[in-house]
Amino acid sequence: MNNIKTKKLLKENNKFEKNLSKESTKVLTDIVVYLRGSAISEYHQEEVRRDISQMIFDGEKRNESVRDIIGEDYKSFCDEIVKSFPPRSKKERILELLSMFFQMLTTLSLLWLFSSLIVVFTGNENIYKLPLTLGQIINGIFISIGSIAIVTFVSKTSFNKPIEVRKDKKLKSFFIYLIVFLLFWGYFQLLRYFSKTVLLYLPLYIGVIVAIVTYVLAKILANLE
Amino acid sequence: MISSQMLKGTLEGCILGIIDKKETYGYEISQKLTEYGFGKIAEGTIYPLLLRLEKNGFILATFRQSDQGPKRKYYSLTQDGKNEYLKFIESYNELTTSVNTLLADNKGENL
Repeated sequence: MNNIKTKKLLKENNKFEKNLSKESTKVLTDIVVYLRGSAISEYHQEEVRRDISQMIFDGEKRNESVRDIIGEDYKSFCDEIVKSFPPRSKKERILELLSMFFQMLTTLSLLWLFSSLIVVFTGNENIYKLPLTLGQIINGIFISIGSIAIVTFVSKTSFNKPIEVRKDKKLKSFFIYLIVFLLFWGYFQLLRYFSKTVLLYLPLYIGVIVAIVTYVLAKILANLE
Repeated sequence: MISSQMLKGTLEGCILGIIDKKETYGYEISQKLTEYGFGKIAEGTIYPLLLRLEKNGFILATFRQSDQGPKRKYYSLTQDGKNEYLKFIESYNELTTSVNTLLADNKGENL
């Protein structure tokens, strides 16, 4: 969340939400999470959040529940809201994607800095000649895609009821956990193998420069409108 | 109770009409609709419609201080909104005339 306007509105919304009942706050959280994965900008999401909080607040004063105010189907309510916004222009989409891209680069360069510093402190490498390995690149891509996938999944399933594991499904879920564990184990073996391939040697300060530059770029792009 | 399908086509126009009378806010609009006989319309049903009307430039939202609590969003009609409302009235009159004609024609055959 790099946009200044959005941050300000977010703060105001957080403050106002304290006036709502616990039950309403739960529903509002589900709504906000769902909207985070939708096609509208973060600023519009916060605007909608402000409006809905206001509606719920007034409704509570009239002793109405969230169901009375919003209706039964929270998901369609959100879908209707998203539909009512004009689609974002190509320029807006590109700016947003670029900002996100640079944000990720900042994180990844900090990761590289961190692991390189560890290597330096174990006394093994020259700080002007730190390796950037294929394994690190692959891991960086995997982390980036994975984090986007997780956030998207969490927001799309925001209104789903929590999954109950029935007794007879316990064996099936055990196998799922086993497979996931094996996949991760396999992935880490792969990474170890590719970590032997060094693509470049870089001085430590390059990591710092890249982190700073990408951070600034992400901030600038997020505040261009 | 009016079917939601029929409501879908006309609710936006009706909301424009309510806002045309005086500057008003979400809950007041849903109350007025109930008064006019539309049944209980939740404020949540109206909210996406108000958003669309605002994004299309038909209504303008202003924040006004309410008696207690935070500022409330009040809506007023823009000139484009007034024109849109007139278009709605024209369309609706055309529709009702046609439907009435059809019903009158079928009256003899169905009874």
